[in-house]
Amino acid sequence: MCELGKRLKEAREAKGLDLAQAAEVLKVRRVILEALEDCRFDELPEPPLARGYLKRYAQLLGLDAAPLLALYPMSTAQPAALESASSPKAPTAPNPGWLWVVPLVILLLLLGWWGYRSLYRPGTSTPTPPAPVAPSPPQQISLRIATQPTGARVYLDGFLLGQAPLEARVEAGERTLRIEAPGYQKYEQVITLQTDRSLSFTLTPAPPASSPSPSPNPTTSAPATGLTLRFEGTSWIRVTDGRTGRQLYEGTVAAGTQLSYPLPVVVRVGNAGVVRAIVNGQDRGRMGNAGQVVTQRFGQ
Amino acid sequence: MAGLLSFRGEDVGIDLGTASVLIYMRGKGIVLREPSVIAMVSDTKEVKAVGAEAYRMLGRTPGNIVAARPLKDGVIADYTLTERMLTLFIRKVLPPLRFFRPQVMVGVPSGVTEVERRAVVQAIVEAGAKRAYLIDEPLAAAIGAGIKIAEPTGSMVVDIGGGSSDIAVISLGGIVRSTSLRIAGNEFDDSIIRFIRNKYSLLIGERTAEELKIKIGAAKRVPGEQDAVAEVRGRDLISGLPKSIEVTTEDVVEALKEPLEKIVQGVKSVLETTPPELVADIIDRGILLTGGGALLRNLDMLLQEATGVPVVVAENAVEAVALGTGKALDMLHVLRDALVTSDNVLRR
Repeated sequence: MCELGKRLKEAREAKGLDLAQAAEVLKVRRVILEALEDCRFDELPEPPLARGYLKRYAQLLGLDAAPLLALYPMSTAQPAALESASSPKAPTAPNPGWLWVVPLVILLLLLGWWGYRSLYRPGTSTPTPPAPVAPSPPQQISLRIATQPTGARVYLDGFLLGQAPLEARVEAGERTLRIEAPGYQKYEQVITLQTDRSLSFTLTPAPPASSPSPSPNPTTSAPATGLTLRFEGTSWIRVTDGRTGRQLYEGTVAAGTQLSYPLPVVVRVGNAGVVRAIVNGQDRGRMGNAGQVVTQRFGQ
Repeated sequence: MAGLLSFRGEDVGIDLGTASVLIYMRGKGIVLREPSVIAMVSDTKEVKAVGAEAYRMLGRTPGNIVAARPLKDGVIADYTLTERMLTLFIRKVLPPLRFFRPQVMVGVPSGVTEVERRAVVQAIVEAGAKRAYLIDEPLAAAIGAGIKIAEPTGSMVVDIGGGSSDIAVISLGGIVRSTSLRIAGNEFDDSIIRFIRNKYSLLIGERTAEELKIKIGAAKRVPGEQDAVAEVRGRDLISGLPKSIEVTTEDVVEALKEPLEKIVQGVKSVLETTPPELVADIIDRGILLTGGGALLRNLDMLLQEATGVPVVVAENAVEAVALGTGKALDMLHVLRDALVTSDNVLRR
């Protein structure tokens, strides 16, 4: 069983769902979920559809879909499909429309091409707009990680890859690597993955246990001045400057987030029961009841 | 050297959409993505702007300038304007001097008439193409999303664009059953405008309605999801003065109920007429949603509940048709029967 299937299965079992129930909720056939968990990718429909199922399955299980999608082989049989379709037939029939051009082109190649190039190369800066280039499909690379001591937990983009030493197929690009081991200092770095990489790390032992965990604890640190909003659940929020009326922020904020603004501000929240307001370091409690839409002004 | 030997010129795929035009070039990807809007001086017919620049002028022009959408409901409404807009777009992506005119593949809604097809082909050829091919949008969307269209397996694609929604069952490189509804993104916007006018007596503009749809819109409310709120500004129909109100997701869901119901009916009607073998394939494989409309939140859930078939939103929903038109140029031998070419359209 592969990494992808293992994570899905563990998450499903943790939720107390069996395959049939999950299939019923997703309206997907049970064999598809089974194939996903057993990593039998060749039994699944082509990637665009299978990745869609994987995404929805991850959502149902409360997992973050992005790292799982990164584990899904991007190009299982896709190019082969096009080729298999094309192979039985002859290549495109010769196009009589351009046959007469061939001698002309050879002539041009011999005589005029280099002149043409030298003439037009420098002048090609026609005012074409910066064209948005389509994102190329994410490339898969192999990442090998070893740590000293072994057994450290390795996270990529906050998602557990496994315990070192390990080898994983991951999507190329800029990723955040975090390595943790009990009794050692946390190691975190943004790395750019382009080709296969093999990395090894030596972790530094943590200072004696007298100092509490060095990571700032969000529940204790609030700036002494200004307004701090602490989210105990998800809520939509809009913050506007109390003087100018300019909008400072609008959006849906996840639980555990903390936002700070200088006073005065006007805050409108969609779910007042989960937002705790702290003014100048003083906890004013929740802004209202759960589900209540509340507009409140802080500061003069 | 390989570059010098390519006699074929540069092949271009175009998604000529009501809302926006996307151009794909082989080896370069999507090179242009602009709203299909053109602005011109009304008496001299001089083009002021196209694309994004012209879009900003929509509804805000002085008397002598007209900013217009030359396409309506997925087809060419104003032939001359479309041709000028396309010429300008193609000129933007192709070098001005070239030996070989490009082959161009254009995606059109599956329900267009012969006259409309001819208009598209003519506009493309006038814009400087050597040969124009027309491909049905759902077929292009399926190719672009990465579905194996050439196999004897049924796939269902629902492509919701700006002006038209195309629903098609595809097998063996061709369309088995399809329908094209002139209900899509723009109709969603109109429904939102109508709803706000009836409920709040407030007249809002098209762009505001579109923003509402994108920011807080949803096809259906799912328990546990937060209701988002957005502020909209418009003209109060009672006092005639500017006014701003707050609209919630619930309002937008209510407003979109009617157009979405029609799309669901369309999907059901295609499923009803699909041969049973293909229906079995579709139940196994699911329905693929593409087009900008597919990004409407929870639309997949709505369709899934209505049909009982799994629904998947393509990861490249917006670009699928443009990518598909480009890839289709490499698959001409498979698609020959499913395409319309300028050679046989213009000869007639």
